[in-house]
Amino acid sequence: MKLTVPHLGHMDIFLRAMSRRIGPEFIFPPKTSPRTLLLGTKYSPESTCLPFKFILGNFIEALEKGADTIAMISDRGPCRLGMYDVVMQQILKDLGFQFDWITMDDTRLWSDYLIRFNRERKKRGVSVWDTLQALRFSWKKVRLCEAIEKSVHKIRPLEVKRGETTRVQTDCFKLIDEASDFRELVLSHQQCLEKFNRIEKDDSRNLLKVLITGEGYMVINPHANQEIERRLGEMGVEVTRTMWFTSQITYALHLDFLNPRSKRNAIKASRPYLKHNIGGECSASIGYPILYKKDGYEGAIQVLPLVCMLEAVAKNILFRVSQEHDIPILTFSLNENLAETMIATRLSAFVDLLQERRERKKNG
Amino acid sequence: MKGYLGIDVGSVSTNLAILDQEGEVICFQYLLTHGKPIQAVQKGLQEVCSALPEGLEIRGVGTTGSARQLTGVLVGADVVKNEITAHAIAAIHFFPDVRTVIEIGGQDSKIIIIRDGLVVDFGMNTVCAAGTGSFLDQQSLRLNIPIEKFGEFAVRSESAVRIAGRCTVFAESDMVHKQQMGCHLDDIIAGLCEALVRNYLNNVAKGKDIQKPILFQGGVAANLGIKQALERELGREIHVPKYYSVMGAIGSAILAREKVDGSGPSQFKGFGIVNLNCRTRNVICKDCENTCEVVEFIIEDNPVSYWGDRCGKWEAQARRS
Amino acid sequence: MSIRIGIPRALLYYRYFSLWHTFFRELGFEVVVSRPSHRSLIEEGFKFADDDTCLPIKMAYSHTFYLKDQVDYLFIPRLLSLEPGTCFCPRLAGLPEMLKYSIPNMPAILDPYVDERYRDSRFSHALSKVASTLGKGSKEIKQAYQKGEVAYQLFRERLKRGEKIPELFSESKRESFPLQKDDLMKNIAIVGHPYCLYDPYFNFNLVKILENVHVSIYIQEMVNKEDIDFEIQRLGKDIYWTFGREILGASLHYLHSDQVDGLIYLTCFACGVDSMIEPLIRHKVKEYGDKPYLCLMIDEHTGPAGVLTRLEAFLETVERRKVDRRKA
Repeated sequence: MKLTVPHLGHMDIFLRAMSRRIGPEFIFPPKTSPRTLLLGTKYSPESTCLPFKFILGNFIEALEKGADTIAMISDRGPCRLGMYDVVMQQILKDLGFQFDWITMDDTRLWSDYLIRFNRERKKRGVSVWDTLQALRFSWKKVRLCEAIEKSVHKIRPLEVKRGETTRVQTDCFKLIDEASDFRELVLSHQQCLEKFNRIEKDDSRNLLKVLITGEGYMVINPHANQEIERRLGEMGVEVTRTMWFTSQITYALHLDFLNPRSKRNAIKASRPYLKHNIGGECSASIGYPILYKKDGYEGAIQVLPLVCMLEAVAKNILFRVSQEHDIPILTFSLNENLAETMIATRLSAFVDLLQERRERKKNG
Repeated sequence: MKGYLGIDVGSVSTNLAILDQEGEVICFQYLLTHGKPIQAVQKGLQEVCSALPEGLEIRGVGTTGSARQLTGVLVGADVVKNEITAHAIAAIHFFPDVRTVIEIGGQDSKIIIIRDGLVVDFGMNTVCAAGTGSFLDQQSLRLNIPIEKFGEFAVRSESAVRIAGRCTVFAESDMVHKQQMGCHLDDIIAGLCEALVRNYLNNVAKGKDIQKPILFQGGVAANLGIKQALERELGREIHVPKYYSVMGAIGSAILAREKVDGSGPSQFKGFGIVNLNCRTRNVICKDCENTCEVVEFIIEDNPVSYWGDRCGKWEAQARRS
Repeated sequence: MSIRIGIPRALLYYRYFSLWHTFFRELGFEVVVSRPSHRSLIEEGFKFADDDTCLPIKMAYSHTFYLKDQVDYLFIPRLLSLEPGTCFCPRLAGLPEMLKYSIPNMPAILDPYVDERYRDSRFSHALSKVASTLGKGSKEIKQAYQKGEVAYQLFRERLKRGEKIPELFSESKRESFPLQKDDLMKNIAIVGHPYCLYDPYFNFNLVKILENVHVSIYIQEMVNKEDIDFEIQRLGKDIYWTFGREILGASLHYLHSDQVDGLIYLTCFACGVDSMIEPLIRHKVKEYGDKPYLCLMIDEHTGPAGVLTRLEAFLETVERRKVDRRKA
């Protein structure tokens, strides 16, 4: 079995680490590129959302590379995600690919998955201890990657040479990915710290702080959001985002009660504006800007796919949140057609707007 | 005498303006880009140079518009800013109380919401060109009536014809249909203006809190038919500033003045650049899977600058050489 | 003076109106429904609607805007699910807030929340709560709800029997009789969201046009739940959208049966549900190969000419197929 999954944040680093220790064999899709989107758009039905197009493109490229089994998450609505499996399978079969499909469905009990996983484990002769160690190792890698990203968010706006921080980030991800055991990982971590220290910084800059929120796939994948974090960082803005691989897991396992800026708290904060969470990140997107304002975030950007069923509701409600909490919110409804100049111009104007507001507040 | 130069290079038009220390407009130029921004800028500079008073020294340059980066490198800009900021600054400069700026350009349109001299919100046309000047241009060509005359026709109309559709293609077929039905040209043109305004308000200006004083600027602002349609639709008076077609350039000049004042010499390369052979070359970088389209800027056969790369290494290369 | 409760003639109105009407009327409220959609009503409300949304939702904005000054309360239920296991488009559940924040000077909104995927959330309970906040007693509420249920069932029966659809939505109590069927008639199944099918402004009076050209219309409401379940099970994917499931199940049923000569799917641009369901139907149509199929996608820029041309071409194909079949 040559398994493949779509690109989603650092999931490939996590799975590669697991795979190297206890298998199975993965053939990841090539890094998401303009070709991925082109393929995905070409074969997608009309009115599907951008994540569908990217993921379909990932699968086509992975199957081209020799993968024979696709694993994809699913749910029971209310948005299109739960239908990806049946529609994508149809498209891929029509294109002549042969493959198996594994749906990771959140309606099945955890025990179902554990039983299945255990069966596979026994078949391969992998011990429970090895499995736990592998999980621990992979999780640590992802946490390191996320820590790196958080540093990048803070350091990139201070860099003197444009692009240096992004280059260091790419190098560090590679170092972490290549580490084959805990010892090497510690060394890699050390090397990453050194690289970061060497970045030429101008600490005198007074940075604006902007929150990036919105639909999950769009927030966590730079290829989907037109690299908005990099753009803002290069404009001298410190950013943070609301979707992380690890935070989604801790939310699902109800382990995030200590985090004041957790998704749970964001949903709570959104109640006055949307009485019931209709699904996905909708309520959270409404609540996050309210929470993060308390941390000194001066603006927020909501990214969503153009025809998103859920996030569009949040979009409408965020106008009111923006007014009542006095926090400017810019919305980017993205599809595959958005022109480069549009993004650059609007981001630039938004940053100017925030800068002017700050000056105004300072001068009283 | 100190002067500040602003250049706004858009996809349809290029405009330049020179302001003095006090912010008064000394001269300005409006020309069509015709798909060649470098040539347009050089031509514009030439025209403006010949209109300059004796002894005027350019102490700061600002660029804006979709080709702002290219122009900035070409002329040696002190400030490169997006058009929304530039237009807002110019509007506030002439009308400090302004609260709404409506800008309908050749291919894009904007709305800028200003409160107490501060931009608080803005919108741009998103999916298509409905609600922009290109809508009118096409019809002007087809009807063989110059755009400048549109206003006359529209004003004469007593009851505008209703033209449906957001898309120019649909609108055109509807217009032809009405023409063939025998509707009067005045009424059709008035209907066209109303359709544009409707598209603008439903697309670009959707959800924005439009309050007066309202400024109407951009190339299309000269069109009386549009101005009237806007006033009717909004139920409020609209002002068209004197320099409506070059507000972007004026804004950039003001920004340049703000930037340079007190901070030292300008990076302006001088008017001599109009005589230099400047061109660009496209390079597709294959160093990683991003395959960025990098633009190489060449002055007299010397590569001077690069941009368009995501990782910044091409830009850095230029800095080193 | 009785309290006036306004129900915008949009979205789920087109399925549940008889229940809502009857419930509130029995309790002594005056029920005001917005007029049937027409151009000025619809276009007035567009400026409040989010651009990126489907036409039926934009029309809901328009109807709400039209109604808001005429009533004391607006009834905009927050319905995520009314059937266990399936749900509607999630935007319907966010509608009250979306409307409240876009349209100025709104009256109070009655927005009971119902998510029947969870056993403790029932429409009857939610409606009861609303009625009791308006001062009604539990006994009369219960009776009113029962009468509403009866009215709803009756409406479903009439739909199933094939009564003329435009009449079913008129305020009159006139009975309308199903068309007499004969051999020359074309039997066409039309599927789609109820708010696309039953709003004549949305679909350019499609239903009436078809009836006028001697077409016998089959709708998804005529298919038994068991048959729909059977088709969905055969497909192997449990469809979690209420309307999506109906549309898909009914389409597959009609594609398999000799009852109909052709299938029309009426959809709108930017519909999330249809964007995933339509490809599945299209695929099956190709697979079976023998029934003409037309997908009509409508948005606010669609003109009647385009729709009629395609409809005519489709009916030609159906006609020709039928004649060929008879010859064979």
